[in-house]
Amino acid sequence: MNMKDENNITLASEELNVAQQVLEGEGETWVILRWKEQVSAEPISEVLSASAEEFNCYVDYKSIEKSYYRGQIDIVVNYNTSDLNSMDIAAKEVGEEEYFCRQLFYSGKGIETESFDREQLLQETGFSTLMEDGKPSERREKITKGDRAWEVQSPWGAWLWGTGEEQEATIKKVHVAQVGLYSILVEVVIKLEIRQDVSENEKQSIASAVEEETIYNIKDDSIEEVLGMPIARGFWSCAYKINDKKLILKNFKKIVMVYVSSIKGGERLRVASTVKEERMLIEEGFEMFCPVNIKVIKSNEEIILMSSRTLLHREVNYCMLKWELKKKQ
Amino acid sequence: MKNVATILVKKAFKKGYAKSSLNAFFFLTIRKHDTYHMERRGCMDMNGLSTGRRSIKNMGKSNFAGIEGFPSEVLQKYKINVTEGKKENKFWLIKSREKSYAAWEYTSNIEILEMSLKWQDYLRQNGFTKILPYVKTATGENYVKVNKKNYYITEFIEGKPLDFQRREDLLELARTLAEIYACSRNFEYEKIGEKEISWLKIKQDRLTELLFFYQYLSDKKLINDYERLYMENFKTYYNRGQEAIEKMVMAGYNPSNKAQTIVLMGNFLEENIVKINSDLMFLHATSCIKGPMIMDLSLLLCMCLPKHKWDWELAKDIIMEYQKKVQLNMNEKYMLLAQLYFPRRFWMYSYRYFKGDGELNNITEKLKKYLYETYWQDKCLNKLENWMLEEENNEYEG
Repeated sequence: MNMKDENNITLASEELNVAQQVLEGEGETWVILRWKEQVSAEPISEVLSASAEEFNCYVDYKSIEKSYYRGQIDIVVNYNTSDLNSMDIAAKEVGEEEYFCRQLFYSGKGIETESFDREQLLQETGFSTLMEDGKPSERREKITKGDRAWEVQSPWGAWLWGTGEEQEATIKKVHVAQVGLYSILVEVVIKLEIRQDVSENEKQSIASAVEEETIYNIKDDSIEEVLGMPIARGFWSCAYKINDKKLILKNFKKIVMVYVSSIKGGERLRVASTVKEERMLIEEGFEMFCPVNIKVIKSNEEIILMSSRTLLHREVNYCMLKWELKKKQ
Repeated sequence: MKNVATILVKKAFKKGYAKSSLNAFFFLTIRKHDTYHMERRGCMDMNGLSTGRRSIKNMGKSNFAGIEGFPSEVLQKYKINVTEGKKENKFWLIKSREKSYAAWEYTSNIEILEMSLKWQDYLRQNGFTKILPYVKTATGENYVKVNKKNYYITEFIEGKPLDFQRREDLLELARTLAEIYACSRNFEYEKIGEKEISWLKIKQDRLTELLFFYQYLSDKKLINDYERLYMENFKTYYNRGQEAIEKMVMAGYNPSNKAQTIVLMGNFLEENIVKINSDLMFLHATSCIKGPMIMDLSLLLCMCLPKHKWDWELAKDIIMEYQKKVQLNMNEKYMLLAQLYFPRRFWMYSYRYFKGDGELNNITEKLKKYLYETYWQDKCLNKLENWMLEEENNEYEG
């Protein structure tokens, strides 16, 4: 049984969590780590490199349906600074500015944000940035005191939901950006994954296979690359269509897009999401009781970036049901 | 006319004038010559306005329209025989056969204009003559109101503009400033301007605005470098502002104490001050406001020191030059430091950003330079503070 679901959905940007942002989906978890700090007393002129000194991961706890991963990460950022002594500090009109400042200071009517059109002021950064694919190479030489280097060390941890063959945790992107005269931002995105192939045994319990093709839009950002789309389902409810002998499954589905923003400056490893209601119609699903376990496995996932704000997402979702009382053959 | 011009050009070349200045000279000569003939023919009135025929100022136009952008009704109120006039950067330059004048449009609070003109009278009575005097109308009024705008006319003298890069100019300006204070400290202005200005409150309000701006941005994605710079540096500058306010309080500033408040010159723009021989002359003095007398000195330092990388020796010399005429007490010194510490321009750039006033790249670049400047400013102010304390200790021990 195949169904085709076509949609056009708008994703809303999520707020950025500093330190650690975890995005859990079925069979995959994305961890975004962020550090932002004033690292230098002199103005930074350029970000030179970023390297991973250490990256490890182990499973700390495991149950039937989920595992808890722990790890440690250590990133070193090298940068250059400018010499304040050789810099020209005074604009030509600095005297006039001070004069007008005095006038405005006295007569200023105050700042109002109501008439302020901030969207018009979106602008790419003039500060230096760096984007590395995968785990950046380790530094060979040790950092010595006085080097223009910033080292960040952090433990991290996240749940990974689902059963199957566990894959090695991988760093997908490292982004370093100068965010001010003296501050640096580091973003790292880690992916935890379980390979969820449908086994021969499980194929027996497939109740439906839904091929989904959805167009997602984003309004307030611009996408350079989509890293992944974890999907989490919850709040299941069942109902029967007695006359047709069909089972109706209803649930909420949270779709999250982890992506790289094409606007340089500040945080670029970003997240947008939406929640929608999902409804599946299972033919020949008429039973005395509701299923005790529902499992959805996605397969053949394909993400096509159509424009900087639109993407096409294709996948096939296999829905597997388990009843407490064995289904009559 | 051609012959006159040719002779003049030849003479000028013999005298070695540069070509550019020659053009101006040639033009002015013809204009004066022609105006002279027009006056003889009786086609100009007492204010230099045409009475029917075309003036040389407006050749090519069918009707006489006075000086470009300047209302002719204003000129009619003055006893000035205008021979020519043109728009300069901030004023209209008017010339009669005897003198040159500057006509100014005034758009701010009229009470301040009235206070300023009375203050200038007071200064002149007390022997301070370094502000070009304003001219009264034929009926004895100080200014003229036309179409809801106010105009006043001052005498005008050509001179070399002040140069903030020159140490001598700055020291001379400090001396002049001290003279102004010495001549005007007893000026009574109670009846002019009812509102008392509390600079303490104004400063606190501005800091609150900075805080408001910070809170507005703190839960948003920063969308440009201006916002990043602002958020990165807000806390430092906010604390700096609070420190400045504390210093003002420690200096015993009390807005209701009228003895502490005087009329301030408030305008040390290079274009407003000309050098005539070794003397300085203010073209006008209508930007004045009321405040503690030290605010003028602090404004002067804030305007000129960035161009000298906040050279503390220069700052000290300017203050010492000022003190030759007006000795500062400890409270006034503290007050001066408080004014210098306050992050006014940090506030101004955010104000302009939020008002959409000016190009974003320009404001960002200026903010960046201001942040660099603070490094030098801090060094300078630390040394100044130590020097002031030492000076005070020496006096105490002495």
